[in-house]
Amino acid sequence: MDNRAISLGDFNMLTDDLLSEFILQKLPAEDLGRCARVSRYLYVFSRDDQLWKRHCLDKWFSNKEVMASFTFRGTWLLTYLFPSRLSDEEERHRVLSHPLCWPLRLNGIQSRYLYAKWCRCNMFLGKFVPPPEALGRVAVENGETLSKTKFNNLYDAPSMPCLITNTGVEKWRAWDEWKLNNIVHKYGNKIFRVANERGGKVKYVQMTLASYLNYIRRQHDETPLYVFDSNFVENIPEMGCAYQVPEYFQDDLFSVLQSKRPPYRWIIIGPERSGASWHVDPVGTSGMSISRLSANGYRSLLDQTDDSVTSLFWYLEIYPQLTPELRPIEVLQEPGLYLFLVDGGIWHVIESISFFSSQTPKFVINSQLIPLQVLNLEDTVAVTQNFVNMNNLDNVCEDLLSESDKQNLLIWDEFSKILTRTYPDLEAYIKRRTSMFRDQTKDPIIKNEGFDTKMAFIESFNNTDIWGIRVKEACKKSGITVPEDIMSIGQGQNPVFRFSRSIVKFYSHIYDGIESYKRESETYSLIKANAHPDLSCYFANVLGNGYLYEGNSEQLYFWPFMIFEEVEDSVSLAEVFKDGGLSPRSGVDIDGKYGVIKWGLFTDRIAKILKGLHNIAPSKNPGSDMNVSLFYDFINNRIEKAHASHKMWLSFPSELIAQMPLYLPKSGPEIFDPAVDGFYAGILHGDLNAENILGVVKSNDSQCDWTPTTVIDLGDAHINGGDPLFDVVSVYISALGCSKTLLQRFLNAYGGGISTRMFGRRAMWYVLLWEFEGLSKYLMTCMPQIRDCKNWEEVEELVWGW
Amino acid sequence: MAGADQKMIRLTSSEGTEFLVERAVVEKSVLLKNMLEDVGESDLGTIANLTLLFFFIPAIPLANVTGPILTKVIEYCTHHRDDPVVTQEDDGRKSSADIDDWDKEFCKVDQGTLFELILAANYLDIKPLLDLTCKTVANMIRGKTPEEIRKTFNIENDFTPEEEAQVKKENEWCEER
Repeated sequence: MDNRAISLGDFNMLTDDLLSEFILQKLPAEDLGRCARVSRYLYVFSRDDQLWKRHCLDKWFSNKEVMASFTFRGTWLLTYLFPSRLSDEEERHRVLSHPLCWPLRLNGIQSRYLYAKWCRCNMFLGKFVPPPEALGRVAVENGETLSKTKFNNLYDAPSMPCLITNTGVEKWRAWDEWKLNNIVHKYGNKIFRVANERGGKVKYVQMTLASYLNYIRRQHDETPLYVFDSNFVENIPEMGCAYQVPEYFQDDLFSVLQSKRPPYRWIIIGPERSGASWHVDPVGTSGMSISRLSANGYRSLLDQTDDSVTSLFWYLEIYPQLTPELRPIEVLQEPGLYLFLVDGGIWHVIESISFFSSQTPKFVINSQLIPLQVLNLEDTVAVTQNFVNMNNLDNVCEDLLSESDKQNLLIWDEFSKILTRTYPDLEAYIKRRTSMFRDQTKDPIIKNEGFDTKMAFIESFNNTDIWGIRVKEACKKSGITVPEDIMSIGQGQNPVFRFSRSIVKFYSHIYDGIESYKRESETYSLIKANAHPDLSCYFANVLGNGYLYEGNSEQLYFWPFMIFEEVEDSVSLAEVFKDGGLSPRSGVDIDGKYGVIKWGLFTDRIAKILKGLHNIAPSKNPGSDMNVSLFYDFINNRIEKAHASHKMWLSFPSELIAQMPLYLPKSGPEIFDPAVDGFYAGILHGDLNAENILGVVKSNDSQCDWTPTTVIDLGDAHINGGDPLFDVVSVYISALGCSKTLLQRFLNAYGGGISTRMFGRRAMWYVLLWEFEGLSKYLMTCMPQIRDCKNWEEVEELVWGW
Repeated sequence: MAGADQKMIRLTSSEGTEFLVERAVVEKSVLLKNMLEDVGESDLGTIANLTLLFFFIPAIPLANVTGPILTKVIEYCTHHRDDPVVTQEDDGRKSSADIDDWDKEFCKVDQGTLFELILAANYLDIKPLLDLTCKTVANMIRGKTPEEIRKTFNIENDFTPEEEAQVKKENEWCEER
């Protein structure tokens, strides 16, 4: 028998980590202490100081009296026994002479587990920098030349992270005063909030800065405690004047709340190895959690953002196993640099950032929501501040409102009230948000479905417990085998589900469901009846359709539905973007050399599909004025409502929105006149965006290509036809990423018919008349420079001119 | 007995015994759940007819788990099939006392089986079972003297007399009760 077997008995069959993390960790302190007397191996395992850290924190950290003179004694076990400063006499007799000051040293014990842990606790990180190839994914800007406008257009609006150098922080008082030794000298007797990252019941503790410095000088923790205090300015007002918020980040809508605003600025002090493991920053006060982001369904992401391991463990054990695409964005933040971090948005797959940092002091501007981990390489003092502006207001509203967190809702009520008073332009926007999420609904159908707010009703579209039964019912009605594994794939507007190669879509009454259903089913039958097979193959086969509750008098709404055949393994263009596919914005990749999309061929294909669709004759009275007047009805209706819609959406700057009524056409014929403009399209798709173009990825050894196979969502189709330019607008903005090269190519491939009369003006009108806010939001992300335009003529030139 | 529409999975223990288990029960194991998701629908099929099932569904071999242990694991997972997934970090110690009656009864097995169960729960990644079995072992340590612990777990006292004297001194604080 080997030593381990003798010394551990039955425990010998367990691995070291099971013994330590699952058995010994569950023992109360006295029992853990006693285990040390059992045998040599158990001595070593039960003296593991990281186990004692937890006992010590749990026992003393909520005891104010003890914490007032908290004294770390080099090991947590000794600190567990003597947590606070004693009289000199007692210190000498009880502490300094305690046998645990010179604990037993045992030779011949072998454990790779304990050894690796010891290494993590004692590692020198001064040279632990990311490999050079990992850096460089975040832009570096020179603060002396980076204007606020440029910052907004390149980073803030499109949600791109950046590092800013030459920030002039050397001129701040904090630059000297907050160097670790100086700050302790100055504020040593002041109490700060210290965070305990992992283990134990107590997450935060109040400690004087002097106690804390004594701790960081003597500790060997794997994840040291660190100061993380959002009240430092309230407690020590002069600290608020020692640094300045850089001009890039000064527009902060939350500032209207003044003293009532939720925590937004933190001072962070920590030794090397400290830092937060994977986490997401709170937006309001609390409530954002990692699970929400992981729910996107990338398991790799979930594994990667596993918050059960420490930052250092993650870097040493997990990081080396990741392929380059799975690695997070890495940033080395050196002293004096600003780091601007943002909402994941378009980055989805790499929506994680780790930043290394060193020395004093730093300024982190953080808009939110990206899983983030921090590893300090040296003793660090930093400030981090969150802010809200027009670029991230949507997210903030959603977070404050969607979680039924009472505290957040109270903040919202206050915030929305003052914000409307301070910025009257925001009124329509705020009202809509509130009515969606907060107000009790008066809608009888929503009430009948059992929901209080419109938002709760819409959120239920993702709930397969509620919808599974309805999906099965719809299948039964259509004579399709009742499915088992039903998955929600809706994007919020309508309940949409996938099961065994079929898609079922229900049409909600909020989005004009009955009309939308009629349009969609009719369009599909027109296409299948009239289109050439070369075109109809781009549209899914309909497996069934009808009304779920037809003739059921207990139901207020009959829930129309359609069931489609699914193209195997298809993904939408929008998903390809999210998965790291290059959007044309990053330089048009005509031949697909750098990404999975051959943009040239893709553009040709979409042009051909649209031309084919436009060539189908309208269902009724082909060629008559009837159809044109129906198109005019639609346009005139939008002209009437567009201004109000944009005031609500606020995608464009409010100065521009104010100018809309003067810019828009007065009536339909101004924007489209078949007699002058020529070609009249028989069927318009109505909403051909990146989400509605599906394709499959084909790969061989050398190449991986995504090619479009299917065009979906004809719920907004115009079966009486209209101006073909109408469809070009959404393709150009959403699918072609506003690339003018691709627009040219599209028009060539389309092969004539789209009138060039006042091209930019008419196209821009259609953008503004668009029924859904997605298009204008997307346009602003593609072209943030619109913010600098003074009037719509300038915007028109920017977006459409060449 | 499972309803006919419930999907079944075949598991094979280390000595080759086959077990037919409902998918929902099998999925209590994170290891097997991920494996099933990776394999995908088509390979496992939706065959409801139990006689056909044996021809069409390949068994998942579990070389590290013996038949008797697998029987216990399945018993546990079946009883807890509808439990919500616990995501929060479990603070083991505070709840070591409260193990519910069924679980307590379940853990009344010989010590060898209990340790085998820990290994199986760890291998199959069934966190609640791992916690339960480890908690049971921790409870066997609680309140015992070092000598009693040695006896319970067949541990030899391998300290030299000098070492033992030193540990005794270090430990005075937790032994004078």
